[in-house]
Amino acid sequence: MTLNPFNIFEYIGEKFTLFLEELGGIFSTFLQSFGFIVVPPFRFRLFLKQMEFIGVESSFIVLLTGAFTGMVFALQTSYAFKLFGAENLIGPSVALSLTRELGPVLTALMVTGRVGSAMAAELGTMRVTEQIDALYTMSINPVQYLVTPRVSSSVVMLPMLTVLFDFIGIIGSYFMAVFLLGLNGERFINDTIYMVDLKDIYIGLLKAAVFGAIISVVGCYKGYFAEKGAEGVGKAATQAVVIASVSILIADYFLTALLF
Amino acid sequence: MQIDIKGLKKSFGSNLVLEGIDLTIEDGKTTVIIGQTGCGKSVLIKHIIGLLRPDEGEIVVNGVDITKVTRKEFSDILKNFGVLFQSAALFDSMTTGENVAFPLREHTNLPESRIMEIVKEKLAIVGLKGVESRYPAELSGGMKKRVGLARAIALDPKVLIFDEPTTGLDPVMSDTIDNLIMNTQKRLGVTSIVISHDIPGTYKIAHRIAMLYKGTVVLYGSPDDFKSTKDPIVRQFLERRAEGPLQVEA
Repeated sequence: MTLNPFNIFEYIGEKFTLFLEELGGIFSTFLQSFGFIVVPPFRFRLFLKQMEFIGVESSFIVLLTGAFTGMVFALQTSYAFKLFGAENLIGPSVALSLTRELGPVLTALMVTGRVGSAMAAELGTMRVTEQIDALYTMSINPVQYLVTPRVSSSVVMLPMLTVLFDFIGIIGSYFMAVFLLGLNGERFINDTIYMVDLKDIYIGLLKAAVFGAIISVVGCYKGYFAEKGAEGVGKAATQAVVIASVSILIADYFLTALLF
Repeated sequence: MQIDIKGLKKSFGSNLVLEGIDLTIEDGKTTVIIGQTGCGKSVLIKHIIGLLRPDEGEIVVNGVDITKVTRKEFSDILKNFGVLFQSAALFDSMTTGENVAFPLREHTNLPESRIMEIVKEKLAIVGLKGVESRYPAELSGGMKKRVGLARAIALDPKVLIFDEPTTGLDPVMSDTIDNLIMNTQKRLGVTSIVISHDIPGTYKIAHRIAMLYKGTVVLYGSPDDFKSTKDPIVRQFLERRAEGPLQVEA
């Protein structure tokens, strides 16, 4: 069998068109969901409910990941810093890495796995069981009712979870450095405070807010347009996690390059 | 509320589903739409409730062409519609009571005590009592449809749309649902549109029947017109015969 080069171009063209369609759909969902924040009726109860689901119920997993990330990071950096007697830099380097990079990114990736997939599965199930159509026929805008509370609460909660991750990560590295590696605790704290700027924390939190928007918009978009029954819902959940995770890492690069 | 459908056309890609539907849904009557699977019944209904936009044609509800109004204007018109979906489409995160109360909480300023009274009232109309705190997953198929109907009539709509209300139900439950459709129509005086494959049920509840075939209305008339027609397509469909001009798509 010979490979027809025209078929390859056709294939690439088709995939590219699909990619652009998907991108346009995600962007349109983002604009609509944000637009509805200022349009009544304001659904404060749904917003609070989503804040609980996205934020409060993710806090344990974020605490756990944050603590162990801080601890392992302290352990790893200690090997390098020991080589030239700079162990006192463990605290600042862990804190800077956490606040600028690891905190927002790892929090977002953990939340993507837990929340992004759940959003896609929930909205996807609502789509295939005609619940979204039912909302529409009751004169309720489904985007305003379902998507806006999820997106807005994600944008608010991701920075909060990141603060939690950063804080517990630094505590973890403190315990590792002071109790296991025998460093001076007071020096650890002073050096960390001296080296970490407020700007490092703010920009980390700004990144987290953008990641929150990515997770929720992608999750809602994939679920909202799910089709073909249970298989379609499963596919939507998987795609939501993959697309959101990759987008977070790509967005992270550009945000870091632009903001720091 | 009368609905006039004129020259409605809709295609999905190269697949022409509606090839020019002309149909009048009479005010205060029950019109049953029948036809083979894939003939465009659901697509037609989706146009009436605004889930789809036609390529050509108009749908006039009380003198207003709903294919040309803004989303906001259509949203107001939709408040006069109640829809019972094939799967009942109950919100599975809400209890039965919350499902029925949902349109009332969204579109009225009634106090909670009055909403709960109306919920009980509507559930009683569909023959259900004491199920308010149960979740849809705890209900049988027939009960779900009845709760769906209670939710559809919560705001006392002027038009009720039923998408295959008896599909998947046993004959006794199907007849119960047919009775409910008739009683609701009589009690509220609503205009009802029913999509159905159930021929005995259709004869029982319909004032008018429209049969769709290949995206057009092949026959529109009273149940007696259908019983006496010689049209081979309609006869084959009503007599449940595999042989004839109607073919099953491969």
